[in-house]
Amino acid sequence: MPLDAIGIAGTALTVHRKWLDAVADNLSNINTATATTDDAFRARYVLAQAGGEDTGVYVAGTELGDAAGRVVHEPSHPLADENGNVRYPDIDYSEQMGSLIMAQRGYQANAAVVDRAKETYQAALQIGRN
Amino acid sequence: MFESVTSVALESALDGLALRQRAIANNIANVNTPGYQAERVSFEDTLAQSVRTGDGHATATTARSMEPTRLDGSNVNMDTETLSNIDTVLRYQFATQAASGTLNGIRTALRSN
Amino acid sequence: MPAVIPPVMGVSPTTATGYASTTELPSTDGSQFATSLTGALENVQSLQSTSNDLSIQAVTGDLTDIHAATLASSRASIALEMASTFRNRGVEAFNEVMRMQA
Repeated sequence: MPLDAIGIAGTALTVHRKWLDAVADNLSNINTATATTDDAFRARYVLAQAGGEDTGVYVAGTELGDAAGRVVHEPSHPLADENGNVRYPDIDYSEQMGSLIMAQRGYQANAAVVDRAKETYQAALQIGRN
Repeated sequence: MFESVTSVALESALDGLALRQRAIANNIANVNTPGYQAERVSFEDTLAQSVRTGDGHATATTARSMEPTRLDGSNVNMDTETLSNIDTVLRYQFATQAASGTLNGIRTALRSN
Repeated sequence: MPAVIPPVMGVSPTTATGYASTTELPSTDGSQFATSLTGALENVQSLQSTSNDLSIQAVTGDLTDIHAATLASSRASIALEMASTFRNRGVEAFNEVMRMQA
């Protein structure tokens, strides 16, 4: 069943919202240390895919970042192992900031599509009005 | 009465513009989707041709833009889509007004004394 | 005192029925008018039916182009008004509307 412009934009708002949530989560955990016996905090990447037949976009899946992360020598850390090492996530701050900006712009652009679609609906409703 | 070339052409235009609106929405929705190619809707030339032959019916067609996609991205140009969206809305508003004008004209004739 | 016009070549005298129209009238013999009126009435049925179908589609979310529903609804409403007006005001109303068709 085909979607109208508002429906299509709606799917994109959902995807971009999930993207923003993932990036925000990645950024807030950029300094989360884990023991070397565990995985590092793994960054979340949202995979977007176009729906068929003008149905907008949807999240096809999520990719997780590197489990090994970066091993850092920090003996004072409570989670440090016998060698004084802890794991930090393999997350690049500037890359995440770049994603944040793109996700935000994308969200706003799709919100604007909804506004314009609303204008066409209002015009259509005026047809034949006295 | 509702089968005049003008009436039919206006309705075809509205259908074409609505399809274009949805194509633009789809493009903007997929601006960050890897590999996505922007859609383009055409109908104006077909419509002009149809009107010249005294018909008025025109079916809109959709094609994919063959411009290269960005690395890990789509080939959607946000500025192009935004301008096209605004243009489409204005044309749609005009077409609805034109269609209304014809209908209200008939009403006025019916109610005149 | 005005003289009664004698019949000439079998034409009988007529009495005035009102003012003459100042614009060109399409031939308004009864048959063409009856055809248009019948057409308008038949049209009302099918236009109303189309309008109803589209309205249902619109409210159940099955219609992506809302203008289709509003156009159909306006046309059905006008066709109904046309049929009613033709019935009430006859030829004169028909001519008014025909004059609109540029």
